[in-house]
Amino acid sequence: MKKLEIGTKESIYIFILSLLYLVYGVLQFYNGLVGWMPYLGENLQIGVPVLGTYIPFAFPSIFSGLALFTVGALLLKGVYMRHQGDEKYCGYVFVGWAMAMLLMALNILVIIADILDTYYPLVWGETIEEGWSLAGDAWGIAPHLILGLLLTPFYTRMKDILRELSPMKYRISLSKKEVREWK
Amino acid sequence: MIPLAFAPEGKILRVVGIRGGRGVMQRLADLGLLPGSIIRVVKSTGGGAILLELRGSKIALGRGISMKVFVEVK
Amino acid sequence: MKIRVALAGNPNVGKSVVFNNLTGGHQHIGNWPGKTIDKAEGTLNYKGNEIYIIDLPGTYSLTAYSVEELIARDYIIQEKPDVVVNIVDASNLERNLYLTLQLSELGANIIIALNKMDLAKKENAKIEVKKLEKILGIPIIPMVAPRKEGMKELTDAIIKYAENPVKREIRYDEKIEKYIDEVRRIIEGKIEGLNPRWAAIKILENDEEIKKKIGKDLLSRCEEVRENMKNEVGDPEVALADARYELIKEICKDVLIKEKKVTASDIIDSVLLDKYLGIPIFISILWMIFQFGFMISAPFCDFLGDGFAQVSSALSGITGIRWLDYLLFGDYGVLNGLGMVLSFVPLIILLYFALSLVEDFGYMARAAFLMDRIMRKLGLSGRAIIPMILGLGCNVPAIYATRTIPDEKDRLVAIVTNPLMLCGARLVFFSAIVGAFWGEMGGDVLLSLYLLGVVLTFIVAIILRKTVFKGKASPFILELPPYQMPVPRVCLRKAWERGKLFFTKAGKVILPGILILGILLITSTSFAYTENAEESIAAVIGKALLPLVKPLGWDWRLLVAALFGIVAKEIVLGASALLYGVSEENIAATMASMYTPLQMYSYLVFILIYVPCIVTIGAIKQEAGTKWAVFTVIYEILLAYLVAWLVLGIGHLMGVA
Repeated sequence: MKKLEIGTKESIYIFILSLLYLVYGVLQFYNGLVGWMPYLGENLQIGVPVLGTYIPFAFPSIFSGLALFTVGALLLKGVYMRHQGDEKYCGYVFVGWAMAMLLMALNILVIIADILDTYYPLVWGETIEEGWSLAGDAWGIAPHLILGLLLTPFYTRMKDILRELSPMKYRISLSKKEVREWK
Repeated sequence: MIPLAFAPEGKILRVVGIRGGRGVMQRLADLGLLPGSIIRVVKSTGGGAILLELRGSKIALGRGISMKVFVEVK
Repeated sequence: MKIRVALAGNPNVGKSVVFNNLTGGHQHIGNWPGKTIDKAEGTLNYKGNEIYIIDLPGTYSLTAYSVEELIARDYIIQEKPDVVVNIVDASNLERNLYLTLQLSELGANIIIALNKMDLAKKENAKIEVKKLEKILGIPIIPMVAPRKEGMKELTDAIIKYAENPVKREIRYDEKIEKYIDEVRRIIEGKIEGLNPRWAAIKILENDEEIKKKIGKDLLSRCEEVRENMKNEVGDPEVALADARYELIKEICKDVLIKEKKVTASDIIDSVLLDKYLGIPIFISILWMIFQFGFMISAPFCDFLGDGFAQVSSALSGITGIRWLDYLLFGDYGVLNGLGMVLSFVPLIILLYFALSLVEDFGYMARAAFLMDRIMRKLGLSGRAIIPMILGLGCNVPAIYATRTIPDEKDRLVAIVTNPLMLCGARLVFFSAIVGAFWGEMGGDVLLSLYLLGVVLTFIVAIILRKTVFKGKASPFILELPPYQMPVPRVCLRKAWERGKLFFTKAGKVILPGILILGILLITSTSFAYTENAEESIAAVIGKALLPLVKPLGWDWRLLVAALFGIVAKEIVLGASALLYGVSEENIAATMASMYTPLQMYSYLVFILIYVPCIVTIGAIKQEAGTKWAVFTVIYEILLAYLVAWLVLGIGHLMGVA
């Protein structure tokens, strides 16, 4: 029933990533809360300071935090199940991976959209006062993108499941004998 | 004979009776859930909602209906 | 040759993919007259033939119990299409053949398009297509629609069988057939335009629609036969359903070999329906759809809105006539209004595209299953959660999203309560005001408004369910199809069509609305052009209506701004700035100097609840009918007044300044 092959080293890798997803998820959630209720505390960031912002930047959002946390939980559960020898682990790892990919794609699309949104007035010759900057954009290089990139290589493992979900070529050929029978 | 709502997960069951109004019975019949049909409970949520396998497809039933469908373990 | 083709099949069999393959860009989506079920029709020119294709609603059967079934069968009976293409899911053969048998009873000229052959193969289900063809006497075209495999064969078959119809009567067990024959003898020749065998079967099934078409004496004779049948084999409706499935079982014994196999779908389902993670996954996915729709469409929406504003101001002054200029190119002019309507379109398209992808994948059914129990207790259908969340961004696409709710009453409740969700437009106004009045606590105030919207949604839904929409909760029966990668071009096409539909329908409502408001603002009581807001008719109306809102403590300007908000909630900010004679940056501070935080909170509450913007009203009219649009407007005004007043009262009682 195993649709997914993961070695031990890869398990550990996923395990670490799952923890990162959990941590950044909680971070975003917390920052989101703090945004609504400043008296709770200050915005926290864990990352590499770059160009006035952090990479990855855990922008405040309760729901984004939930999404990251969920991905982390799914991956963690998957790895744990595999450790326990439960064959159903494939599902959890796959869904976690798939959601991580979607979040990464979303991050990229949002950055593109934000850039477009900043510069479209150029079409009618308006001057842009404040250009787009990584620091100015909430979604600029968020955990979705970084962690997603780190998970992307697993695509090769997911191919089997993906293929099963996708429309396949079904060779429908009528042999001459069958054609005669039809008519 | 027990209501589907209380049936155990994973077991093969036979439908022995459906106690419902015209509309409900017809809709179930259209999907192939008739007295005598063989089904399997894929998932049973605590609140009575059931996910079952019937004639090769998966059907979800709410609590209201799963209390009205009676089954026995095959 | 002109050929009329109807596509019929179960939900989730890939009908829309086949439809899109056949029609491509030559399609049009509208409504079945008087109903809110999608009507997709299109044309195809092939080998010199003009083929008209209509996509009938997906149904499991052809009873008289649901709107979809009635639409499907009435079309086949009345319009008599040359060919009915029955799209059958090869991975679900038994259940799908049930509808095939019903179509055959109708006497339709059927071709079976056996879709999802690849999925059947993946699930280790082997079908002997030739054998099945012979047994049924119906031509079968195997296919994999997303890859367009089999489409050519299908189109060839359509032409072939349009010219040479297949006529074949499929008979059930004699035990049942004898009753069908008896009723048939009774009604033979006495029914216009209906296949006698089908009518006989329907009469035995107690079909109300068909019974209406027979004379009383004939009906009573048929009832006798029905009684006899009841005594021998039990409830005729059940017996007939049983007979069909018995026949299917016999047929499948010969042509279908199925191996029990754990599929990817099964594995994924155990995750997506996980006891603890199921709901977080759902919320996350919903959030992703939301973000995709609103953030990715933003540049396009802004571009359109701004673009038209640019054109507007560029053209302003061109006519030389002040009032004409204002009406055409002014801030509230026609051109800007057009821009505003158009600026909704990218949002609708992207949101619908994302929803369509997730739905076609098969996930929405799981989500409905997860949420239904909770939502039921709160008076709403499980499927209503999606429109509710969408309403947080914009009520317009949210209302269109209610189409997926099968039960009519549930759908109407979802539509009518949707405007209570705090939409993006109101957020514009709220966030501008909140900072000036509450400073650091502004965020909390905003959150409280959101929560108020949600709470009111549930309260109103429960009340409506107990009164206006009284009725038992519709039974929850839902098929969970196997997961399959959606076909992006199909989803995009669907989204595009819906965007077009919105533009034409909404535009008709909004543009006149904006025009009227513009006129009211610039015309003085002596019907001359004026730029002083105080002199305008709008001001006069505002002052005249002032007594109505006395308990709420507003001045006429707040009232007029609220009136303007009927056009679009974003306008409330700009309109109040105009009316107070200050810039948009300063309006919040100005109001802060005139009103207490309590009074302003009450005003915000009113704006939250009172009336949906005119675009939303248009959407409600389109999806639920004028009656409910009017109902929504009225109940919301009353509710807004009540709650705003309560807020003031409670505030004073609590000693809040």
